[in-house]
Amino acid sequence: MSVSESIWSLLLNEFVNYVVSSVSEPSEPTKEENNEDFINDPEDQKKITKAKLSNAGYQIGQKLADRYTKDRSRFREQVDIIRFLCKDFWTLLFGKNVDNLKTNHRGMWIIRDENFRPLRNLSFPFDGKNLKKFDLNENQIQIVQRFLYFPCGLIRGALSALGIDADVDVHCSLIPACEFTVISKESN
Amino acid sequence: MIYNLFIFSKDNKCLYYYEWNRPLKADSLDYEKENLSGLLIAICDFVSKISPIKPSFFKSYSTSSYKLHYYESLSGFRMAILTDPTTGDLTDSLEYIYGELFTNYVMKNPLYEIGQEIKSQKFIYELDLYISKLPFFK
Repeated sequence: MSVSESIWSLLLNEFVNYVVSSVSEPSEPTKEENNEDFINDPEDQKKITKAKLSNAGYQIGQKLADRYTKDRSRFREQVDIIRFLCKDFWTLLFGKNVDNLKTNHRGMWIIRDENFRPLRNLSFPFDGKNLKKFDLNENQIQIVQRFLYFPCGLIRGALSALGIDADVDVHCSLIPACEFTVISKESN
Repeated sequence: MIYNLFIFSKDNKCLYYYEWNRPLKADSLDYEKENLSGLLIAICDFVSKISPIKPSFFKSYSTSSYKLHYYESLSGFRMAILTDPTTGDLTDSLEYIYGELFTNYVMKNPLYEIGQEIKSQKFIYELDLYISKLPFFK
């Protein structure tokens, strides 16, 4: 079964914007009740946004892993799971294979995608200088990160369901490319 | 030769304007945008009404010095491109700009809210690239 690419990217965009605004702006009733859900510190806001999006991804990733592996033969080694993640899982979710996979053979993998689907349509306002220069400033990188917390969670969830308990981090310096770092917690 | 381009929203706001070649500068660009938007609404309405056979859609008009090409999406976004009067039909190009560039780099951009002016660098870049590659650009 396939899902329209438009609906999934628009839904993800709205979901991220919704979580960001729910953390940074208190809704009317909570303001009156002086609800402690409202967080003032921007650093805390960032952490909570990250946790919310990443947890949602984690839940979905776990369930998807079940769904997507139901007709497969058993994985023999960790590397089979990673291979599954980078080929089948990535293609089903993001429409393509990853572009580069590196490992230190001690439980760390670096996955690079040069044209990552959730970032493909993201673009910042033109600053009027050089149209061909797409460099991001520090503030813009923070905004891009928001759209990567959920995919990070998806990967963490899928790996966890398949038997690798890992931390997943992501870095983007030039959209739409980004680099995920997966560190298995058992490696030490 | 391609002169300039306008994109209007459903409620007549000019979302984007760009000029590639324009020897005679506008006296007041805001005035020009507003009037063009009004003119296009009137023309579209009128050309359809006086059509003798069946309702018809406005595509372009030309004067001694320029030609205006018009495209309207079903959702109400309207685009106009001004070129020199010898340029042929631009419907395909306008459809491409709307269907490929506008929907992908404006509507699907998570940072864009409906009704805002278009500032997305990716859209501006891709549009410029596409227009400047057209055979009748210069």
